[in-house]
Amino acid sequence: MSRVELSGITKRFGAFEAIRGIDLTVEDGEFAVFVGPSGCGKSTLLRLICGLEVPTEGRIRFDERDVRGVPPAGRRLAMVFQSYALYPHMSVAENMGFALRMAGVPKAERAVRVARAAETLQITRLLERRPKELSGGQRQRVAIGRAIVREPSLFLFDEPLSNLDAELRVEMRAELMELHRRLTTTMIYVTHDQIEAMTMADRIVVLRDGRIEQAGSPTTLYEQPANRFVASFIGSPRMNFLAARVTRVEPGRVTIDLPGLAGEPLRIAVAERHGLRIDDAVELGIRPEHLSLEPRAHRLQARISFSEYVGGAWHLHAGDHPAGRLVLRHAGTPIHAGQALELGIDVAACHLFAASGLRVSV
Amino acid sequence: MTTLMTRLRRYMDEHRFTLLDLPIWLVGMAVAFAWFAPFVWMVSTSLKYPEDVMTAQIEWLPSRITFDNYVKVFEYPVVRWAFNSLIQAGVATSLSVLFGAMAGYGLARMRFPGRDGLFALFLASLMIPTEVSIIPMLLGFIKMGWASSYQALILPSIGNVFAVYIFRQFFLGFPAEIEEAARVDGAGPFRLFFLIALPLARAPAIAAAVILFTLNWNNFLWPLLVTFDESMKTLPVGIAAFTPVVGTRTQLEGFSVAMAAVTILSVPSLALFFLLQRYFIQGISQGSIKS
Repeated sequence: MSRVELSGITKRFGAFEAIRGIDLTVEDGEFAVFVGPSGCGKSTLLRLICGLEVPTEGRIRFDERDVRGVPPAGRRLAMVFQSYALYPHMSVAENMGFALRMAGVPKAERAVRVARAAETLQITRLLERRPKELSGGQRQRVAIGRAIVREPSLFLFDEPLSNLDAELRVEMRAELMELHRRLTTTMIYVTHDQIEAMTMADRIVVLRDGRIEQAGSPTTLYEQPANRFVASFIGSPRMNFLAARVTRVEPGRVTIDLPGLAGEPLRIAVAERHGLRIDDAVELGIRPEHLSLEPRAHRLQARISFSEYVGGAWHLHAGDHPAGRLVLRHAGTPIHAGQALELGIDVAACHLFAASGLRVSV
Repeated sequence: MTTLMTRLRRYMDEHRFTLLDLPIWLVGMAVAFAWFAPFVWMVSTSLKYPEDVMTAQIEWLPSRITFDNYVKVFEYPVVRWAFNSLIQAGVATSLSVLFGAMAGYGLARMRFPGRDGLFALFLASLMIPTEVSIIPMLLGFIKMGWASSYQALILPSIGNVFAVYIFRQFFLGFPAEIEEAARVDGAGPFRLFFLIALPLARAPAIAAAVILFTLNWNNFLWPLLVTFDESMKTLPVGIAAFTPVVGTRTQLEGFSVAMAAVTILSVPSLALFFLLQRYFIQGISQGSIKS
């Protein structure tokens, strides 16, 4: 079991600041997912926790123990790499038992533990093979086996599924979640795939430019994104952002003017300290599933530029709306390019973002 | 003729060989012939009777064959010289491959101040001719009482810049994640090198070994200077006495015996090359392409 606490972590590579003062606690037994676009610092943060990099500033503690100066092997953790990083000249059994061999575990005990881990992952028949004789999925299993055989307190995964095909990725995702359920060990998982993050995480940590944008459960991030970046990063298709202007400010709510809006004016409930003034530029965020073809009090006129069938539903794209690009999830009859539609807005599910990018709606 | 043309065309198609490749191919063949002809001449002469060696007409292949020349070579302590050569070349090659791998790994994968400057210094040392350092080195070995010993034959050859270079180029392209995985698994720098990096460096190790073994096996000047006893001579030094100079064995036995001696000398290097040819080419190309 391991609780990981990061305090004021900064990492610089020369003049480049990859991680900027991160404070974060990953609780014991938690499945935390670091997610963000390329170059956001998620892998660097994982490598700092692992001990493969040393923080320029700040402190990392495992269960209250400061791990500064402790090499990776002394941190009781295991890491699964994106490329699997299996030793090509060793058999699967030797790969899995290598860490135990380094720790001086007797050969007989090594064999027992390797066999047990292999059985868990259903790779017993592969134990004598070399990595080059394995498929991508099998290699991934071996890499996970190499991690679990050490019985670590903390698992680190660095985009472990990114080299697998879509079907295998879904399968391995389920297996990893099952593994976490069974082992109840703290796991930190890095990915750029928000679907992976949403489906696997107890808590998602969204990173951008070396900073945490928001950390929270998948539902919190989806339903209450802290800012425009998180709102646009989480969710597929991504949230629609429509340019608007504040026309009236009242306690607890603001009225906005949205180009192309039909029906009643849009009134959005906002937080107490929203800081908005009349005539301020804002953005209205609407998830594709919160636009519909049903008649609503607030409607947008749109012409469909193209539609994508995604199995059981259509993603309808309207590129020429005056307030911005629109995507709508539609589960009814097929709608083809060129059709003009009136889209109903579910106002209660809308988000309002100030010009700073912060969400001001409640 | 038609069949021949059809087969030629099919061969060209299969090997993606076009007429534009022909000049390159012809130049390559000419160079290959220029390298191969003396070798054929050497082997051919070694199998000729002494009276067939000097003829008005060039005889590329002997009209009649004899192995007497080889028998005559073995009347001298060739086996002892070959043993000395084997010890000298084998040990020096093994150590220079090991040290070259260690230095190459350090220069490619470890971060320390002055690393690149050190590598430049290694390369710059290639510009110092052997003749400049060989006399002080000889005097040093004589003063230490190591003249005519295996230490004297081996020690000057255990560090080789070429080996360092070829391993450095290989390790520059070595996957960092494998190293990191080993660190996470608890391997320190030495175990990481000996258990992970070195076993994966088979191709550059073989390339370096083939080249260094050939260099060490054929090494002449240093063994000539440092060995004073007949029993400590290496094969190249021993058979130097067969060179066509007045007062040498060639004057007594003829060129054919000299050629038989040289043929014997070339066999181990050639055998090693042919056995390990595939890895040799792999190692050399890795060294050059991955840089």
